[in-house]
Amino acid sequence: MKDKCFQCLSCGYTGDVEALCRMDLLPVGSRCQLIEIEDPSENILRLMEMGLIPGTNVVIERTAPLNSPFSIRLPGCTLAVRREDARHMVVAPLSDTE
Amino acid sequence: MSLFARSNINTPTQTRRLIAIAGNPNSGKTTLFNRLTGARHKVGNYPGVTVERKIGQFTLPSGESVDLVDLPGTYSFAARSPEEQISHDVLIGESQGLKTPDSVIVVLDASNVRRNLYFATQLRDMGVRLIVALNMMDIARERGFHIDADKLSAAIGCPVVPVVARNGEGIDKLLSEIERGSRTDGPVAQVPRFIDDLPEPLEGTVQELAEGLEQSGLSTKENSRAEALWLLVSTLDGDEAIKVSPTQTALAKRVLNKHKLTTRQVRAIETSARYQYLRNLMVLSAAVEQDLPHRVTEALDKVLLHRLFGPIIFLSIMAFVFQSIFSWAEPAMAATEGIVGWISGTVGQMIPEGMFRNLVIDGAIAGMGNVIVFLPQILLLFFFIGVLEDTGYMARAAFLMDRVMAKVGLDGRAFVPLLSSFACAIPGIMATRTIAGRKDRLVTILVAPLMSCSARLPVYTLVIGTVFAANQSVLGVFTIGGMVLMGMYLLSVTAGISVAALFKKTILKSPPPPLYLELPTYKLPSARSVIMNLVDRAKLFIMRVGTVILAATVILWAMMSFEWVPTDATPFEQARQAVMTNTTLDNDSQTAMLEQIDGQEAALRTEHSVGGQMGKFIEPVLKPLGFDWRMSIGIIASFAAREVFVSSLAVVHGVKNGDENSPTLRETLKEARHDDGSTIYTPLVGLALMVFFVLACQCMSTVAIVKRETNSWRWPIFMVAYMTVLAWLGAFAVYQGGKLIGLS
Ligand SMILES: Nc1nc2c(ncn2[C@@H]2O[C@H](COP(=O)(O)OP(=O)(O)OP(=O)(O)O)[C@@H](O)[C@H]2O)c(=O)[nH]1
Repeated sequence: MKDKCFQCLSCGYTGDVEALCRMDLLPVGSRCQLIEIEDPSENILRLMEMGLIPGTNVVIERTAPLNSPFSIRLPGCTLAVRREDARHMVVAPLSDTE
Repeated sequence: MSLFARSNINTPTQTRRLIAIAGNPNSGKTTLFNRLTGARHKVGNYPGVTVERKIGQFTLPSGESVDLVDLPGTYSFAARSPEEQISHDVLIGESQGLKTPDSVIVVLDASNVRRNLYFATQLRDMGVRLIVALNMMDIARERGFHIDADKLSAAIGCPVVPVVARNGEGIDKLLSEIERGSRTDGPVAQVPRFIDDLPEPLEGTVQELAEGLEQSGLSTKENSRAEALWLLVSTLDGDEAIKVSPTQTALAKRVLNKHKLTTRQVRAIETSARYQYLRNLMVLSAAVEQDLPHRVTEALDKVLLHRLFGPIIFLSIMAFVFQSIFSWAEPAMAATEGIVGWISGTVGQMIPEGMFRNLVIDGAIAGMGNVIVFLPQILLLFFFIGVLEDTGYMARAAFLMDRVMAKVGLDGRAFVPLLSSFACAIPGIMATRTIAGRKDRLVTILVAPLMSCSARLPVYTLVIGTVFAANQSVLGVFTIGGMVLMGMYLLSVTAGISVAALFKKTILKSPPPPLYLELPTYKLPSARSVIMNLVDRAKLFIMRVGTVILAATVILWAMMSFEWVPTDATPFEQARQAVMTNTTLDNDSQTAMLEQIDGQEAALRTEHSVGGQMGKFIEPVLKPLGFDWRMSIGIIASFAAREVFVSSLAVVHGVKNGDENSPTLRETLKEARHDDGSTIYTPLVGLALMVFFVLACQCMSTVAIVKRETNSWRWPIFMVAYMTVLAWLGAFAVYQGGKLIGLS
């Protein structure tokens, strides 16, 4: 993945940069850690206020019939996210044991 | 406790203490509000905006009576819409008609403390006296979330009371904390407020703006930093009507430019930093959060949000709701009409015949009937909506519908109001209050009356039965009547979608509706809350909308009964005399002939009435649509309610007691001729007439409800105007287009 995130690493991420991807690509059931949000839109800012901030562990729960939005579980609550918003979210996939 | 408010609900006064109740959506604010005030509350609007405000009263253990006001539920204190600005205005005492609250109860959902504390600490930064109600303790316990209320209280320096708003657990303790609230200053906080120690680059920016505000006398020393941060994160694009003074805006913009920051950046930084800050608070309060899904919710969502079954179940639920307001409300509505009829009869016997009796019966009592007749539908719809909201299903519906509705530019939550509008636009428009965006809500309100409501059915039935061979079958199982009817519904949906898309791009231009949606865990709704909400809705409707409908009914009655041109009754009297004295006639035919004469007289009187003359006056405007003056009169009269069209048409054609299924009325209409002998009600005219009814806003009750929901006359007037133009154009296109291709 090539983008400003793994060049600047201002978020302090120290893991495997090659493993990073965007949240909209993750399949249902996978877990990940939110690393950085690029250029947050108004809508994403609201999601951030609801607890979706860098550093949060997220489980992709299920998608709506037309593939968007999809629901994600954070510690404490479940949120609905549109796929176009999830494109702005850089995540590090976690294995089941992490 | 009685469901009906005692009469001593006073407006808040300067002397009584004012408590505000705030918190995240779904944290249980409404439940707690109801628990505290019971039925002692009033629903109204915040001045100048469409946000609902509830004010109630409750009594402290000492016997002191205090006022309670609810704030809109939000996740953050940052204001990006007038709705969200209210919390800020109320807290700093700038909301019209309210003094600064003495303390604020902030309701936290104990099963998601961190997120709820985000908002609570924002309030704390503002320097308001907080009392934390740690709600939903039952759920938190059951799910293994822990939090030590005493430690949290020590950490943030305000009382924290664990409660279960649903069953009243901990409410006594909460009451005594409220009582103490104004007397002691509370414990000293272990943790400084977030605002006192900001990370860079927030610190420099906030401090600079705070000093600017202090120097210009716009804020006090204690509050300036919090006020500065609030200004920086609240919309400064000048788009929505955030009522921040221009001086403040200018100051904030200058500071932002100097530090090369945007409002959004400041918000992103604040959010991340505040969550960091909360981590410390959580540790100090010995909070343990489980990362486990809620088992019941997980199991239910597997089915209810299933990619195939989810939509099927949703549509079935909607079909059920729709069916109920469409047909189950019918007996109740019929009963209402029966009762109104009985009252008219009884009252009629007490008042001597004459103008006054007509005013009372056909104006006032009929008007009240026009109001009450909506109640069954409103109550049913709000019962379902209340249950769906409180269980947490409504959020799922928005989740399922988001993609489809977003294509049209509408909010996922607009689906339920729009569907309900097929039964009746009144409850549908009332139900739009779940839509968050002001403009999205307005668009939904404006197109709701385009949905073909059940009051149009009698008109379709009459017209189809008159001008088409309604029962002739096409394609085997279908009939012409059925197909035409379906066409009308399709037209209504198409028009609704197109108009909504158009408004979204033009007069109510706004980005696609946002989706920031929490899917809360499923909960059992509380009967108490659902019923109280029903009572509130019914009261609001009767008091705010009912008066307008009543007044309009009386005006319309006056228009239809006062004669502009005097009617000479002599010919009718002579004709009656002739029939009565004619001994060759038997009783039955005598009665029939008398009725015919009565009908003719009534028709002539209607033609001479103010409304009738107006119908004739506007005939030239409606002529290009194929309508004659009788239909024009019907259209004017149908403004009371669309179905009135049928009875007015019967009156102007001299048919007594004609309803949409009456063969006499149909026959009369079929026989009706223009002066040149041509048929008036041709299939093409019928079609144009129905198209007109699909698109026109002929319903004063809708106008009244839109007035109440938008808090101004601007939108209802606009709505009537655009729909009338649309209806005219639609009917014109059908009639003239049809004539062009040789139809009649
Ligand atoms: N188990 C449990 N359920 C509760 C409690 N308090 C509220 N609820 C339920 O939680 C749901 C939401 O409560 P509301 O009072 O409508 O929440 P609100 O904060 O007013 O929500 P908005 O109106 O969306 O801002 C309802 O189904 C309530 O019955 C509680 O203490 N325990």
